[in-house]
Amino acid sequence: MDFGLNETQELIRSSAAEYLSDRSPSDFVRAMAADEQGYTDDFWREIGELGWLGLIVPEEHSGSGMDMSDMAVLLGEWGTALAPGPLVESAVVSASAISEFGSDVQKQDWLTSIATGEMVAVPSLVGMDGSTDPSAMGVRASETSNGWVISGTSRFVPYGNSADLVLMPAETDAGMTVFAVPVKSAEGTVNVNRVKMASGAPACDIDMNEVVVPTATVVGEVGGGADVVDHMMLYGAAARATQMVGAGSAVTDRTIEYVKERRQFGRPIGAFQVIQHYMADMATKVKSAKHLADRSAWALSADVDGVMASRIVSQAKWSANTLMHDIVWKAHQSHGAIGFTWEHDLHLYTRRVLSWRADFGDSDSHIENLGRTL
Amino acid sequence: MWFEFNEEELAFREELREFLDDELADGWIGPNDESSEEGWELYCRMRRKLAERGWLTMTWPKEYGGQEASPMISLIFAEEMSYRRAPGNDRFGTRMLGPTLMVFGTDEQKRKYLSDIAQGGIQWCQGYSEPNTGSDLASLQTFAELRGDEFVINGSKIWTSLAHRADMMFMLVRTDRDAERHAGISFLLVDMKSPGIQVNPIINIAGAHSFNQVMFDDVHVPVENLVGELHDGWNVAMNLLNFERGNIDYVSWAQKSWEEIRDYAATTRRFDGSLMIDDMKVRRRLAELEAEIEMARYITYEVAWLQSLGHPPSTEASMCKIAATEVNTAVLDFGVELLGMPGLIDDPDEHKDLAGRIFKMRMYQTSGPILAGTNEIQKNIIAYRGLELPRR
Repeated sequence: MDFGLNETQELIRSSAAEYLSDRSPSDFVRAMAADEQGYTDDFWREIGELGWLGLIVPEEHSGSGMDMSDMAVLLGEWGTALAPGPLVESAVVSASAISEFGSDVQKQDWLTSIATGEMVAVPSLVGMDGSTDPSAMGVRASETSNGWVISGTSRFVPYGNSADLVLMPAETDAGMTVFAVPVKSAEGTVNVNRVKMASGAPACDIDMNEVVVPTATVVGEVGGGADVVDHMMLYGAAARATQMVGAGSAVTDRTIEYVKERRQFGRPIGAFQVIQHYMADMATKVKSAKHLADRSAWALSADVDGVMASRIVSQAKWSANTLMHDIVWKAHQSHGAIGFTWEHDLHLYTRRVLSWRADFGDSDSHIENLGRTL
Repeated sequence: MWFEFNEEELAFREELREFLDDELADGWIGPNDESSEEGWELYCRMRRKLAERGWLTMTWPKEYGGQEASPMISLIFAEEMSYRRAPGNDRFGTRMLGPTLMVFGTDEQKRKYLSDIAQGGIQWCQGYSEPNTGSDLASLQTFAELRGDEFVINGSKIWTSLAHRADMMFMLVRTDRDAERHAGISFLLVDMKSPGIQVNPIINIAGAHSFNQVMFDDVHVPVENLVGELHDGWNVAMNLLNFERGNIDYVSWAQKSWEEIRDYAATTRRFDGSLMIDDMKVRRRLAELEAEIEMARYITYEVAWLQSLGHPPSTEASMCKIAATEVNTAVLDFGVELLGMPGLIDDPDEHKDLAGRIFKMRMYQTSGPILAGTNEIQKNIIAYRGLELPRR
């Protein structure tokens, strides 16, 4: 057992904390939440130059070849700073799926570009009904002599308006298949409609009519899309859980600072036992969820068997969902009216934590996974 | 970050498992009933056998007969013992008094008591709480008057586990009524056979005799039984509390009970012929509790990891006490509810069956969030020491 960071991880943590507190203060977070794209190209290029987009990309594709435990350190800080942009979607979920399932050519063409930030790849994992049920996917693909023809709607695609590639599961005669659709350059009709989301990160409904893509866009096997989707859900859930804990940790720290300063009845409200117990509960919940989130990242780096890894990730995401939600509301209760204002930053966290609960499997789906595999 | 035990740790767990397979009766489900004569004999026999292997004092320094085992190995020992509900893991002598004597004891006290503790030949009990002194320990009133080379104790201790079985008690007494309340307390070692000691049983809500009220009427204790300086007992005791907290017992008990409840659900049919476990609602609740057990487990692992780095546990130990006792309560609450009426039968002949035990287990667990510093006191500790919130 080791709950500490190694030297490399400590370096990632301190440089991320320092860089993000400087580069992504709440003014920037707020501006990006109002921005069409949700992040700036400059910011993304800088993140790429820092090597963070290629952290888990293999070295032969210009990445650092690190593992999910290392990535988790960055994701925690990313969550603490509420930094904008598709880090989880592009640098974790898509990069790991392409590394795992992609052909040599796909790896060559895409991984290096993802690592530098020149290319943004995002997964489409939300069904027509807004759930993460793969059977609710509204996209269909058929094979023709020119390649594949894709039609239908992909909903709530994160950062779909800036993505170069969307890893899109589609129903085919051979079963579900994942295509890496170059939405900006695809041949055929593609309409990308941005939806303004509560989290501040844009999501897009992508309507496709007879979009033609080459066979080389198939990620993994034709008919083997379920494995790719499972992989993306797994990495996404572990990453999001870690990011949520980072956010919950920041909420807890800020709330503790606030109750030390805010005075009522002639003393800091943090001197009242009911508030003290709220703070103790919040600190305990952060720690509880953090261990399971870190363990989920570890499980994806170490040699843990498939069902076990999936259970560990589900425990992490369910715990992050449940406990970070509790933390946010205790924080609001402790802040009182000031935390109810637009001006105060607390709601920036609230919006994200509540939104992130739905990503990569909600609490319900993770508990179902755990219940089925008891 | 690494979330697995190393080979040495896994090998130790295996060795301990084999030992317990050999020593515990076939079909042993525990827990041991130390209020019965057979139960007490089993406890003492196991305590000696564990001592023979050096396991009771494995974390002690070699100069006191220990093995200088890592906190993680020690955690595995407690985890496995509690998971098997195995008797004999004496915590008062080995985990609490022993380490205290190493810090504060005289050479004579170390010589006299440490080897007895290490050999599993002596039972200690802890005299802290009093009828009017619970969470506010520094309000204790039992008085020890220094007369020549003796202390003379008058007063009463309560909720004293194993007082009816113990050979010796380590206790806190007031030795100066005029001093500031923390400054007038001393730490004494008392022979339970001393004239003037009367042990009155208290039956707990599970119907068992597990603790007692101990009356002291002019009990004479030689002055060499003082541990630490006169009037410095608070300091000695606070040091000891750090040894007391942070154990994994409740996590293991929760794990074991969770498995029993799961197995019950997997083998019990409802009237329509379906197994309880075919019900997704049951599976979901089991899954939630399992995740909560894991959360509590990893906080306790973290405490051991911190100790292995030489950091004394403080707020993490309090967090672990809260998480572990809360999850054990939640597991047993679910069990009582799931088993329904069969689990509510109050018949001592049905103890082998989970239905015959579940309610009693839940009754016992009521003490978990209370003893060794209530969970509310633990939250105060987290707030003051960890989060540095103001006291006023």
